[in-house]
Amino acid sequence: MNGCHAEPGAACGLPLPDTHAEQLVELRRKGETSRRGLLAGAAAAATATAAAGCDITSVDQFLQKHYTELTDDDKKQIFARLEAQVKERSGVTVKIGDPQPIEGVTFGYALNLSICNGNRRCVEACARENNLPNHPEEMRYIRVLEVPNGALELEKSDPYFEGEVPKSGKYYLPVQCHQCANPPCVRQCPCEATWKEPDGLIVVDYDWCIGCRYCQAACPYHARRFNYGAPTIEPDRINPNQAYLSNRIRPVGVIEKCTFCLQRTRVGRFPACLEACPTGARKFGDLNDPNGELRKILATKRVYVLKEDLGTIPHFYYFFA
Amino acid sequence: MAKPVPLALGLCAVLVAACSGPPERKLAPAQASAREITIELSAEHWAQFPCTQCHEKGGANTTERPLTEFHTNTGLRHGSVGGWCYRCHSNQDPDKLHLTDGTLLPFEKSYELCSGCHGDRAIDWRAGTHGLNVGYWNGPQTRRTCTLCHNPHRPAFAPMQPEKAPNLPRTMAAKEGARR
Repeated sequence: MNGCHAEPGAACGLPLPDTHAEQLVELRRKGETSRRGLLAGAAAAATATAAAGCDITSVDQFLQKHYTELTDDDKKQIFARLEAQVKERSGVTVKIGDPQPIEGVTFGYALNLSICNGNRRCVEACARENNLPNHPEEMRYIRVLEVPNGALELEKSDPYFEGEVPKSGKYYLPVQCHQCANPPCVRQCPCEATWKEPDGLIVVDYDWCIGCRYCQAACPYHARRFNYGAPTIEPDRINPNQAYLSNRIRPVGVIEKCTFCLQRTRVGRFPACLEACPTGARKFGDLNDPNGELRKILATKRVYVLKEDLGTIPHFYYFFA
Repeated sequence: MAKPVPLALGLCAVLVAACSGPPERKLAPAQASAREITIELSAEHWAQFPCTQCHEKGGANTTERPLTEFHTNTGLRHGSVGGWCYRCHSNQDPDKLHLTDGTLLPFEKSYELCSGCHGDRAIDWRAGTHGLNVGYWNGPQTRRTCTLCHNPHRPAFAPMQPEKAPNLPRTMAAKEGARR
């Protein structure tokens, strides 16, 4: 199910060729249970597989379990395989980690609409941090909407604005994943490839996603992006500090989204978009910390959430101050 | 994958999986939040510091007038009720600022002076809800002082060129001419 789409232009049929399955049974009978051993044994079948567009690594990937079922050893193997793939394709040495949610922390984000001037520095910083491709499709997690003053209807907004900002009579509304407490996208996933983490972040197991895009249709914030082509990133743009559930380089045919830069925030740092904002409009922190910036904003500012009536309960707040 | 595996083996696997279950999720331990805040100071505006290179203590002509020889590009545009250099700068000691009550203040503490008029912003800035803080959300942070983002002589943000606009979706790009 979660197999060969890692290979650009892969034309491999699913499931694996019958010869492969037979060989697997044969090896099991012989008491050969290690995956590496299986692969060695399956070398003969590899020719057939290669002809179908898959390589050996995709067999590993084919047998890979869901993220929540992976043991530490599994993760070590998988991360090493993914790192080797990047090395082979781009010649860049990356480190894929798996930072865990911090106990008792729920991440929240607040954005000051009185200050934001629509300069899109956040969009660019996000692209750099999260290894977003420019080819074959340009992908960006954050969309900055230019909205006429006084309007709350997003259909009146324009994400394609150009020229000097801020323009008079407009305000700017950056939209990214709201990490909803009641996420409609997660409910739609037919294979549990996306879920809510204990710290409130919505993540995707890119190796488990089948690319049906139901979640993309379900998201009322247009926060999810789909890899129509195999993303290619110039080697000098690759961020080597990667995490399995966030900014590692995605395969073709999977959904991806903003994760509040969990590779940074779970080790205490601020998200990349926040640090790039020249106006200081973005505020990030722990919603459970009563002395944190977020709680101060929620308590003392005029705060609203986008499309509140949908009941998604976003962890992304807009405020005026 | 269950199909080619013999039934007994499959059953065993199911039983083992049911007994052991997925590995337990270990969360990272909670850390006490230890915000140490460093205030990042402005350096670029200090090109002409110290002011006593030229200005004598207490020797300046404090009458408001157009400047024609020095500081001509200051472009003072701060506040709507007028005021001039010596509203903030001290004539008594040109290397210092002064509060409205005459207390002298080093340039490093300029935020104290700003707080005198912009109290609501100052409260927010001290609470970390106004201004740009970088670093760690639960650890050491660098907080920018007021004058690092706002030029004290022209505090309003100048208009900026935005980063590149997103590409139009292909279907929209085809109609681009008609749309705009």
